[in-house]
Order: sequence, then C-alpha cells, then structure tokens
Amino acid sequence: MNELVKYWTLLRINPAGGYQTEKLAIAQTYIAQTYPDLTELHQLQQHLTRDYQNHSTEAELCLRCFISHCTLEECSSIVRQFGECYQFNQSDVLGYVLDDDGLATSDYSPLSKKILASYNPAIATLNTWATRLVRQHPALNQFLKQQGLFLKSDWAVLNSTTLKRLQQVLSKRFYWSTEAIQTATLYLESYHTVYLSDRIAEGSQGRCKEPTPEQLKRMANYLQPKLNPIVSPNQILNQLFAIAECLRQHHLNRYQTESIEDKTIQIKAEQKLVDSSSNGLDSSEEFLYHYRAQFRKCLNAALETVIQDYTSRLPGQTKADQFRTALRLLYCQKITMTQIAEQLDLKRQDNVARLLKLKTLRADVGLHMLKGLKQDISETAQNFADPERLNRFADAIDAALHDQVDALLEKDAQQSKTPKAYQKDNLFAEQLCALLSRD
Amino acid sequence: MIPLDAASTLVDLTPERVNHAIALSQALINPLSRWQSYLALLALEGFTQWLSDRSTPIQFDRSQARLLEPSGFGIPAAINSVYANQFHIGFLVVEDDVEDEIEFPVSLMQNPAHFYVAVCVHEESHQVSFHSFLRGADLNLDSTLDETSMIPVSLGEANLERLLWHLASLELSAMALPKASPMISPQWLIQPLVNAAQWLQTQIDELTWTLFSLELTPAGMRSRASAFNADLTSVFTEIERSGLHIPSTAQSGYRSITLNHHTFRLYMTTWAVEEASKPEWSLLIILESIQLSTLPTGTQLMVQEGDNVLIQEEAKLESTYLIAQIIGTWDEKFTLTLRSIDPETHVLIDSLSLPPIVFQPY
Repeated sequence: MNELVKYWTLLRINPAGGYQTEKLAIAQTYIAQTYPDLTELHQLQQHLTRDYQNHSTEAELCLRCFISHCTLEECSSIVRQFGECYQFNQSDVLGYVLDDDGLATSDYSPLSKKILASYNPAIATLNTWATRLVRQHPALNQFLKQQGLFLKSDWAVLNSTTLKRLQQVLSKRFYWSTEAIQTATLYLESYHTVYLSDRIAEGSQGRCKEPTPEQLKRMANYLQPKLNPIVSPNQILNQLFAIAECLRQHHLNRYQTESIEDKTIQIKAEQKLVDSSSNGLDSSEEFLYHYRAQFRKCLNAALETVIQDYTSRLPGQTKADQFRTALRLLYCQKITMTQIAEQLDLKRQDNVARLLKLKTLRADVGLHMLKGLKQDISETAQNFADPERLNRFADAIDAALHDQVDALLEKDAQQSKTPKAYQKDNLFAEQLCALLSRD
Repeated sequence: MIPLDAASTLVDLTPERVNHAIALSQALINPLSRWQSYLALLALEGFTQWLSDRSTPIQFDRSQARLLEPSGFGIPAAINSVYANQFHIGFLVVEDDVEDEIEFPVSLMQNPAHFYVAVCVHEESHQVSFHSFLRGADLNLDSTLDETSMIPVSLGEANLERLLWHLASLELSAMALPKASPMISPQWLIQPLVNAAQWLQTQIDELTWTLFSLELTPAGMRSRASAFNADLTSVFTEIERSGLHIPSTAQSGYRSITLNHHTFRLYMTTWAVEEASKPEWSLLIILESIQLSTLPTGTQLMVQEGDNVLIQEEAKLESTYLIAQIIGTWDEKFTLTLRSIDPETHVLIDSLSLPPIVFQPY
C-alpha cells in the first residue's frame, strides 16, 4: 500500500472476521488541502503531530488512521510468530487492539487515542511507539497468556542481554560504529545502576514498566561525568528504546528462520535414534525379554517410592485420595480420563491430567528403576560406566514404560478400541493396581 | 517469548524462592553486578524447585552452593558447588533465544564441575526453563583473559531427563572433570542472610546454622563438642581469660563450610553491647578444621565493613583456631571472607565470602 494512503484509510474490525479498510474523507481532504506539495513522508508525520498537539481533530484522525495500520502490522507479526504454536489467529488478536471507530468527536477512547496522547516525538517514531503500546495492551496480553504465551516487554529484552551479546548484535547485525557501541554500553550501565537496582530493591514485581522520569534523571546524573555532551532524560529513554529495538528485531529475525533449524535438529535427533537402535540391546521388547523379572521387581519398588512421594506432597488428604482414586480408575478399572473427571467431580479431563502428571510420573519411575537395576543386576553394571551406554539403557527402560503408561491415554483418544500394548501385557498397570489395592 | 505450557519443563518460582534471590543479590556490594547475580540465583532456585517437585533417587545438596560474581554489569554470573549424589553441578544463565553459541563464565573453571546446567530465566514472569546441560569433560575453553568464553550450543544436551539418569545411576568414574583454570572471581556462599539480632531473640528457624547458647546448655554443648576436634568450651574460657566478657545473653551458631576441598566449621557468637552511648553489637568468630586437628597452613579469616578490611588472621603452622572479634554499631554490617593461600607460592587458591551479617533488632 502507498504509505501516504495510510494516513486517510482506517482499518477496522470486520464483524464477519478479519478487518476492513475504510476511507476517511475528512482525513484525505485535510492532507490534500494542508500539505499539497509534501513529498517527504516523515515530514508529513511531523507536521501532523504538531497539528495534533495544536488540537486539530483532522490531524488526529490522520494519525489514528496511520496507527491502525501499525496495529495491524504488529498483530500480524505476533500471529506469524506464535499463532500456529499457541493456536490463535489474526481475528482473535485484532479484537483487542483494533478498536477505533473513526469518529472525529466521541467520548469513546480507542487504543489509538491513548497511543497519541502518550506519544512524545522526541523519544521515538510514531510507528515504534504504537507497536510498543499494542504489545503491552493488558487485555491482549491476558488473552495471550491464556493461550500460554507470555510476551516479553522491551525492558525484559534489555534485561536479559549480556554485554558481549549486545556488542555482537549491534556491530555485526546493525553495523553500529565502535563509538556508538561504547555509548550504548554506557547507557546500559546507567540503566543497570538505576533501573535494575531499583527493580531488585522493589521485589521484582511483575512486568517491567517504563523507567520513571525520576529514574531517568538519576541515569542522566550517573552518565554526566562519563559522557560529553550532557544528555537529557529523554535522550536516554530514546537510546534505550533504540537498543531494545535492535535486540528485538534480531530476535524476530531468528524466529522467522527457526522452523528450518527445527527441522535440522529433528533430523539429527532421528539420526541419533537410528544410530542407537542398531547398537545392541535397545528395543523395549528386547529389553523386557531379557530382564522381565528384574523389571517387575524394580518397577514395584519404584512405584512404591514415587506414589508415596507424590501423595505425601499433595495438600491435604482429599487431594491425596483423589490422586490414588484417579490412578486406580485409570489403570485398574480402565475407564477414560473424561469419565474419571466426572466421577471425581473435576470439571474437565485436563484437570485429571494435571492431577496425575503421568509424564513426570513415568520419568520418575524410570529414574528409580534405573537406580534399582544398577544395584540389583550385576550384568547391567557396564551400562553405568559410560554415559552413552547409560543413555541407551535408560532410553530402553523409558520406551518400555512409555508403551505401558501411555497406552491408557491412547485408549482415551480412540474410545472404543483397546490398544494392543495395553491388552497384551501391561506390567505397569499390573504392579500399580497391586500396590493400590494393598491399602 | 515464553511458552507457558510448552512440552519442555517450565518451572514457576514460588515467592519465597524469588525473595531469597533478591535478598542475596541486594546484599552484594557492587551494584553493577547485582542484576546478573540475581538471574543466576533464580536459575539455582528454579532447578532446586524442579528437582524437589519430582520424586528422584538423587541426593541434592546445595548447602555449599556459591555465587560466582562477575566484575561488572552485563557479564553473566554463575553458580557452582552444588552436589547431586556424588556429582558436582554448576549453573549458568543463557538467554531464551541463544543462537549457535552459549556465553560460558570462565570463573566456573576454577573448581570444575561434572555437569553444567544452562538455564533460561524469565524474570518478569518468575519462571525458569532449562536450555540444556553440558558435560564438563566436553568443554575445552580457549585460554583467554575474557570473563566469558563462547562455546557451541551443539555441545549441550537438551533433554534434562538424561542429566537425571546420569546423576541417579552413572558411576562417578565414568565422568571426567575438565582441567581447572586459576581464575578467581568473588565468590559468595549462598545462604539466607544472617541477622544476628534475630539469633538473640531466637525468632528464627535457622536451617543453615545450628544455634546454641553457651550459658544455657553447657552439658549439651559439651556433648556436641565431643564430636568436635577439641573442647570448644575451653576455647571460650581462654577467650574470656584474655579479657573479653561474653555475657550470658550471647547466642551462638555454627555451620560447616568447604574451602579448597577442605571442610571447616565456623562458629559465630553474638551479643548486644549496652554500655556504649550508641547501641553496639559484638561478633566473635572462630574457625576450626573438621577434617584435621589443625588448620591447613595459609587459611585466612577476614572481616570487612564494606571495602574496609578490619581484621585479617592467617593460620600458621599448627594453628588450631582462627579467632576474630569485632564490635560495631547497629547500622554496620560485616562481611566474612575465608581464603586459602598456598603457603609456599603465596598464590590465592580459593576465596569465599559470607553475605553481610547485620544486627537489626527491629
């Protein structure tokens, strides 16, 4: 889209999904009449900002149009990065932030008005400012958090970087000069001295907020003997934004290339798997064939310890009873998670999953068994003297457990069918039920 | 960007754990190293919590854990001297979007560990996740004057379960240690801050220090002392004979400390000094060896107020104890440092400080 058009077209939510573009005649006329000869876009933004500060409602509309485009871009970027993984789409996100009705005078205060009201052109471009506030929008963040995504603030991006990393990014990706990097380093030093010391002293509460004017002033005082000429608090904020922006851009670029890397990693992992299975005792069936008796004995001991640990840690007898009952229903009565949720008065089946933590349970049982097998069976000794062999040995135990522990979950997925692994020979269920029926 | 429900382990830190990390990092004298130290302490708290939420046959011991403090801002801090079964584990903090290299604090190589856990700390949400773990033996750091060294991520193993397998059942001999390098950074014993005034009011549940009163339980004291190398009461008698009066209200505590692979016992006795015009407090410190009847030659005990060294005692040949006594006003805090110096070459081998001890009755 022509950049200029962004100043007189407003993007609005489309009730049918997505967004729609609306042309605002007032805005278009205002630009055409006031700035007919303007060729430089950034000048237009400066002029409009100045007009807005002089209370021009037309200029305000133009800038609100522009902000709606920034909002869309930022939302698209969030969806591109995380939408697939956290299961949300553009419409989910836009609903929170693309809320301008395009009316010149109204009591209603959309996000774009708030962005403009807090905007200071001395600190950042309008695009940067809008992007930042969109990302920080509380309701949007609340929604994303529900989806399992926590968006880091710019400050958190700044906080987690090391000096070496910062210098690398600034010089190799953004080609900053040595002097500029030295200055950036000083700014970061003042930020650490003031802002981060304060954050620790105040108990490191929640999301990082923007440095207060008072904090910026202290940073300026800190920098005074080190920097020439003297810098203003606004300049410091501006610089910190710029540094954070570089780090965030860098981070973003990485995300966009990640899927390819993921594939290579996966291929590597698959390769490893192939390597290990061609190497002696590995498949779970083979493992069970050789060590069936010992497997049973160690499994029994491991289950006893783990179940005891888990129940003793749950708050109160009721939870502990629920835990044991859920295990019994799942492995002895062989009923599905959904039915268990009903029986235990837990609202949903994922509550059952959370209560049982089967994945961790399996991992812990495997660990105890490993220890037990080491102590009990001298033939396995060599497996514990070499980390690679140990990995293969433990993998085999884990695979054997996996088949049996997860067999029931599979069953949940395909209700009618009882999976083979479960029907045939489930030592895990057998031992667990024996244990649970003892008390 | 943090996936809250990612398949990989994401640990929520309890407020108590966060507060522990805050308290210790705030006590650090250099404000520029506080932030990175804070992140490293959160990493340790996160791992501790993760492990304690599990049921594992692994004995986890962080009673000697140390914070390795960097020299300035933006340089990662690290943790070592954490033990799981017989294995020594170190911790380092990595960003959650590390690329092909991890920034590894070289200070970790002063006392090499079997494993290093690389932890992503999500400070805003008080969560940690585990990036990978490294085997010490795989590390081959370039000798460099830099405080950190870049190592390829490919050396790391992302599946932390494998670390647990190793810790639970691997033979100690199967895991070699990397070569030690002599770099020494300021090192802090990670323990709850000691407010000596609370010892007097016996208001606290001390976990790291065993508290006792010289006056009230002389019999108990003696029976405990029988486990010590010498009768401690005679030491106190000797101190009193030299002119120092220890009032009956004094409260004492002891704990063990490992320095240069040698285990010591550190005693502290504290009391309020009322006679002065401005309220003061007194701290008496005694250091003895647990393993031997005398202290290793070259062991040093130092007491500082801020950067100011107030007392420095060094064990000569056949020294049984090092003793330091100090009086300060209620707003003064004292930092104890134990050092181990090679008696022949006079090279500093190990150094460990206790977070500042304060006396705040209110």
